[in-house]
Amino acid sequence: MMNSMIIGKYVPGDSVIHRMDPRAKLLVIFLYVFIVFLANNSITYAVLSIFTFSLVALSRIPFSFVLKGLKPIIWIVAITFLLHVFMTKEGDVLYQIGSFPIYESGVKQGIFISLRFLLLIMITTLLTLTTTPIEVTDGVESLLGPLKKVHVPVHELALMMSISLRFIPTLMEETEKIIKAQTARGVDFTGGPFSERIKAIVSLLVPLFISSFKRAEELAIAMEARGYRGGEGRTKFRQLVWKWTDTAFLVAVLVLAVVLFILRS
Amino acid sequence: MDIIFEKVEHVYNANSPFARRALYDVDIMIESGSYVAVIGHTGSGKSTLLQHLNGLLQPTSGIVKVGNQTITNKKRQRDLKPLRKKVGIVFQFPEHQLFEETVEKDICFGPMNFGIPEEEAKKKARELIKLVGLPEDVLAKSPFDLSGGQMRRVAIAGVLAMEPDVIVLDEPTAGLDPRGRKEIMEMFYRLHQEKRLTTVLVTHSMEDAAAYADYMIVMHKGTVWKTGTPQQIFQDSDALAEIGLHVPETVRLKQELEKKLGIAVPSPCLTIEETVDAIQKLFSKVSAHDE
Repeated sequence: MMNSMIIGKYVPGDSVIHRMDPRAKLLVIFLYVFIVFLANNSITYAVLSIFTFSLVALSRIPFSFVLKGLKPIIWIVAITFLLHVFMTKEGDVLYQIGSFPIYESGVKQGIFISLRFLLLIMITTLLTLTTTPIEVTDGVESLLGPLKKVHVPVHELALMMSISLRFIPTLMEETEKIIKAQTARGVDFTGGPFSERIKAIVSLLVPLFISSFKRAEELAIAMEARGYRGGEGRTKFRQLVWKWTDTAFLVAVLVLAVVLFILRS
Repeated sequence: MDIIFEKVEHVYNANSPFARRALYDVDIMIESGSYVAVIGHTGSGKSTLLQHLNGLLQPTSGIVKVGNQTITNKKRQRDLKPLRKKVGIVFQFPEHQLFEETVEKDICFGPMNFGIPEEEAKKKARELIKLVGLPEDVLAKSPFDLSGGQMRRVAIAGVLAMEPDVIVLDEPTAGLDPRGRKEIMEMFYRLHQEKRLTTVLVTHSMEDAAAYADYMIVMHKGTVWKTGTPQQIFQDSDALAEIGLHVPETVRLKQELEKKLGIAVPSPCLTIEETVDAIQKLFSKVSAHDE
């Protein structure tokens, strides 16, 4: 049931993308999110797509994995596409469905926006496919480091992030266990009238909450027993190393931005 | 209600890169009214096996027959609900399944899911809370105010309240203190004897298997390694050791005695009582010889 959840699944490898500093990856994606909005015609979208697909190719991850990551949002993309097709009323009429005229620019706009969506999700999927969750949190912590000066609890936030990531599989296992136990007591999780479904969900959520709270408490005690006292003066087992390839990727993204800026209409 | 497995195979995540065969070639028969112990090393397929008993898992291939119900991979989950009333499962750490505001409501939850009227379920709850060894005033309390051992008893009462024909116990005493362990095992044994409740016990305790079961199924690496009475199973301690299991302490005592003294102890020595009797007989033989 949880097999389709590719987002957040790391695929081990040793490609250039895998070896990139997570900070560089995060910065690239951060910039990319803005750059995507620079594209506004066929040429710029083509350039953007080529750039994105080359990154995927560089990661040497089978394309089918990336496609699986797109699956959960395919409906949002489809609805966005249809909305644009039906709502835009500019340019020539291409086709007439009943009393609904379909305009050329509507189709174009629909394709562009959907493409924008897909490219964004693709690049973020690429991040999670090539970077372990721990690396991502280390990267976030390091990038947000300067904010410590203004008393933002960066270390604590990063720790919260890595703890929640760590417990996702545990929670899923727990969920499955409780679903089974309640099914054995006659609960039907697959169907039934609304009131019964609510009851079914309650019978799952209450035990789940209780065990989560218990686990959090145990974890806190275990951490304290091992001398954890916050991020002050704490050293790291995995040191992040910024390499020239990381700089190269950042420069590539900036070049992309310039190119798109020149080519956009 | 007999339970019959024919060539049962179960593959987790079938048709995916993560496919894992947990069970294969399982042919077993659990007779109505019997007490069957399932033993095996961790990962031997015990848990997968027991989830087939009430259709939580369906065989990837092969047939499971429970009474007149047949479970194959083609059955829809919805059609298996009636089966779940007949076969109750007490999972490992069943206290994790409690969720209602009061103990009474939680015990009534199972039976009411199967359409038993509230009044009747409440009556049942009052009966069962005493059976599992708790005072009646616990019924009005929140299950989360109870101790771990008491919660376990409430959860067990919740399964028994469905009045199943078959009860499946997955290490029902794990994590309990010695006294609670004994009380719970004795309670299930009493139920089995008084109501002829078919009981399937999955356990790591060879002592419990020897003391209560009249038939045993030994699992190893996803299939049935051996079946038989406890006496038959515990005859060959070397073979059991090879698959990571051992014989009960009393059987070991008997075997060591036989080796050291060079005599044969006729009793199987499956329980403390049997062993004491056997040793007593040995002594009286020796003293008769002396005179």
